[in-house]
Amino acid sequence: MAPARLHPIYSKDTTVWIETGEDRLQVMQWAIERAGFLENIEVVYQSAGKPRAQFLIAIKPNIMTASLYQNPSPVYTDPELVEFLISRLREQGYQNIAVVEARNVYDYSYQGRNVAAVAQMVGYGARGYRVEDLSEQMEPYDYGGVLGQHFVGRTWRDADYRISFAKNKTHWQCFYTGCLKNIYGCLPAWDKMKHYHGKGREYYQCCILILDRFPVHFGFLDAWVSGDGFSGHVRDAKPNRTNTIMASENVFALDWVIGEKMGVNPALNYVVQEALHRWGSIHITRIGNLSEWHPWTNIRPFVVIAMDAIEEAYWLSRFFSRAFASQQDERFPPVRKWRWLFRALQALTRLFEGAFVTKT
Amino acid sequence: MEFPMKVYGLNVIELFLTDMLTALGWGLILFAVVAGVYPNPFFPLGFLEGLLVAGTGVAGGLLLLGSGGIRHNRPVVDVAGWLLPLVGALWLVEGLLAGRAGSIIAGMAMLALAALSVFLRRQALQARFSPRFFSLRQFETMIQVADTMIEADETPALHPIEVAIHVDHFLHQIDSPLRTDIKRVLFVVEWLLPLLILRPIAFSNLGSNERRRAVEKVIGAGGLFRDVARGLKLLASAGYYGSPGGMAQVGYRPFEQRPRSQGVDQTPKHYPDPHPDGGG
Repeated sequence: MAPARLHPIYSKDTTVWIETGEDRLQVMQWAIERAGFLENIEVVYQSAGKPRAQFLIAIKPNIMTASLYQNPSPVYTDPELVEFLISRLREQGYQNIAVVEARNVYDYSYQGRNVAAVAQMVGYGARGYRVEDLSEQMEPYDYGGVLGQHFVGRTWRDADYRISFAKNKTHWQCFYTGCLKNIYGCLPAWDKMKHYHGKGREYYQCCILILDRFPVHFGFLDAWVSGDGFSGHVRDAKPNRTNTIMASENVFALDWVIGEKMGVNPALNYVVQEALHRWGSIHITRIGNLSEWHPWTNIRPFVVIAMDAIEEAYWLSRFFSRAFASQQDERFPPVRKWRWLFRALQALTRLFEGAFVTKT
Repeated sequence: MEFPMKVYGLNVIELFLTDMLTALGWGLILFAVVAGVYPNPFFPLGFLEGLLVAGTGVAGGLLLLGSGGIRHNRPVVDVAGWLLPLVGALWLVEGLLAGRAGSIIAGMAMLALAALSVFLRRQALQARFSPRFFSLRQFETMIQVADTMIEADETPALHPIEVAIHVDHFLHQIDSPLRTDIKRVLFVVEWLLPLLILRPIAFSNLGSNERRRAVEKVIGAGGLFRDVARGLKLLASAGYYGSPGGMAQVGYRPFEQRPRSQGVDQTPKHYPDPHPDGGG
């Protein structure tokens, strides 16, 4: 842990907007307007000194945790909300817009899961924007810190304006995942357990490091339908209709409020804790409905600690990643090696998923 | 619910450890009662066995007391942390001598749980501080040294933890034989300094007034302790006044920010090489 350093975005006192309603596109519109998103991007655009058509905007939604197409989904960011945001940007004259993601540990278990294929499965049309696979455009970059000399996805590196558009859901490694943890998905190596977990470096350190080096200018949270419970970040048999979109120019503040809405002390989340250590404490103004989600099922501290212990051993975490990957769209066939064993383990996973949850 | 944003607040490992110690405390008390009432599976009950059962109950009680606040009640947790493995080892020995499986299993379980709680306490500290140069114990000593040396009514510019982090990172960067001496000083402060005020407990476990008394004792002392006093002053000052916040508090402004530095040519002066031919 280093002493807190002031960051021009994350260390600023800020406001988090919590918008609720019945029509998700209308609520998204309110979030864009009230949180001052278009004014924020205009300020950054003016200081960039580039033609509007060349000003590169990178949007990082949650895509690669999708295993199946669902409408609505509690697991991945709603593509319609992302495309709505893009349409608003295009109305302002921005044309150089990329939706970015990197491959992930589902590749231990299934084949053919590149970003374009998964984005297509969940409904991204790539009309008026492009979908970029950061794992296919790895460029050397010295992050310093725990990552040191590693790689960065070119589009993420070159973006003039970065947006984290996360999904509201629980996560067994850190209680919940929001706009900060979403950027962990921009780390370009697909074998994340090998490169970003375990001895010498923790995923939350890597996540905060990339956020520090390539700052996110704005964050949105798709909490229209949310995933909770033990495996909320990858599947949820009973999604929660939370009918909310959250927005802020400071993703650190936004993630803090996400924890409050779940009834979890945000400082217990490893990612938020690392952010707190790095950027210090800030004052947050909360505007909107602050009551906790109900019904809502959180992760037990025991699970978080156990997962942290397991990931210290690469092969063990790889084994569990595959054993827990219990469902997938048919277009992505299972990896053949040890297929019979993992099919049995994945069936067991489905049986036990409800065992490690706490009701609020 | 709004949660206060605290940089050094509770972390998830401490939260889990608190719950685990509570459960362990109740478990040990319950076990002691059961073993006292039904001793047969464990040993033939005699005086020494009775003491062992009582010790187990006391360890449980201390764990319960300590888990009420693992930071504030740290000395209690420390004592329980020593007592639990001792009691576990005695149960194991008793079981081996008496040839009773129940006692052996109980002893092994207590030793395993004691090891787990030590591991978790270390992990919790690691998660809070991640020191680069100091050990976890030395880092805690450094925090208490900073807290003692910068103690004042007004709010200090830096939290004692930040002072300790500054010192830790500074010492991590430099390469000097002084580093070994500083570790030795912290060892002396942690384990020997409290003895000067007749407190046989670690410096980090003392309250702020007692820590102050111990430090005041060495300020006027001679020999080894005079060096200790100098070391403490040096460490606290370097950590506090070496930071921008500490500098600002005493009115120090870096040269580049002073009005008289503005417009001054600060480019380095270049002198001709006095030995252009290599000095031969």
